[in-house]
Amino acid sequence: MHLSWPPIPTIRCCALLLAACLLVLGHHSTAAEKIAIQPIAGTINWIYSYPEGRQRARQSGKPLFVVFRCER
Amino acid sequence: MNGINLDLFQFEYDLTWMAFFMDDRDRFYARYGGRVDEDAESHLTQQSLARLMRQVVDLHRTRAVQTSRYEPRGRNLRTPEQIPTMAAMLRERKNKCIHCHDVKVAQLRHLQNLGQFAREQVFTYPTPANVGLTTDPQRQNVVTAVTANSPAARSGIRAGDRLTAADGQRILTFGDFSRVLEKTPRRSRLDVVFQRGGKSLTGSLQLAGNWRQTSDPSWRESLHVAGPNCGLWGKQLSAADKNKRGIAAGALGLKVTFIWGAHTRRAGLQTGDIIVALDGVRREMTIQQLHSYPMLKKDYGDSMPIIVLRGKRQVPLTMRFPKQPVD
Repeated sequence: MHLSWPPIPTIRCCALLLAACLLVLGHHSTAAEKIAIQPIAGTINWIYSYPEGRQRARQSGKPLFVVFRCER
Repeated sequence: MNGINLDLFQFEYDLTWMAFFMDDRDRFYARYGGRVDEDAESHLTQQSLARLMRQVVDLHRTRAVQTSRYEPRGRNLRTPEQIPTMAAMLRERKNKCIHCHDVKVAQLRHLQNLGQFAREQVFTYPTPANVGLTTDPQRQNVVTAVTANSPAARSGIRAGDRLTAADGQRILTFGDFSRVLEKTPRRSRLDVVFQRGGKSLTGSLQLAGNWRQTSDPSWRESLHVAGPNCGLWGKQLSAADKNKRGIAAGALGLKVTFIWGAHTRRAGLQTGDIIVALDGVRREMTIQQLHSYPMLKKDYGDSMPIIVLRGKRQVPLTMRFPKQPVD
């Protein structure tokens, strides 16, 4: 599939990923109120932000297990 | 998918579940997920996932990440929100959550707007079955069957072989191979490495024609972009109901439960009608398969004959699809 909308330079990447993180986690974001995450109950503490997960992987020296799941 | 970097996380967005094993520098060890047409969970098993986790832990010790040309670099951020058609899709929604399939729908609509859409673009992330390989759901790079006269059969791969690489990409899972196939041109030669009885062998898959397509893509949410729909909901009759109405087992028998399409009402369809033939086809279909039929075979503006059973009468009707998509 060919995607042709313009890419954003890398320099903005972190900011936007951080923004995404805030959208998911944020308690101060209006958008976050609209996009409600449905946490999974269980023994695994899932992290709902990729940047935070990556940071945790860096600190722990462990690989990341990234899951995309349908919440419908 | 809100804010997710699509340059990095490339996968079959029609799926309801997909996983990646990565390091902390956006590099991939393995992909886990995917399905065949017939079964959404064909290759999702606890056993295979646990097995892969152990393999990834070993790979992580030496940082043996995938490095082939099939790997996304993720250097640019392309978010779902940037797809030009996404804003219009979200405008009508209370919940602004972007689902995986929304990404693909928005991408396809964007291509439609550019006049670059073709139906075959719905068939993303081909599976091993597309080239003639059936793989073990537990040990996902182990071949359990090879379809006769398929590219896989001609390459020399046999049941029992373990596929280890395709064009330089390590293959541990169904998802790993699907990733390679997604990036493989329609007409090409794909070199593969496989293990047989302790020996490493090589072969080539010669790919041409419509190998990316499958026979029943009705599970794909994005399919509705491809063509017109029937504008109704329905449910399959039970075997007993079919028998009572004189419809053979294995024949089409779908009871209309809800009509939303103006073109459907204009055609004369009514709630309670039982669809017994669609464009001359009388084989059994699910409601999803009924919808996918015109999406794949008809264009906007086309007509399609339908026969319904209304009481004891067979009533022939003609559905004229709208000239363009109706939201």
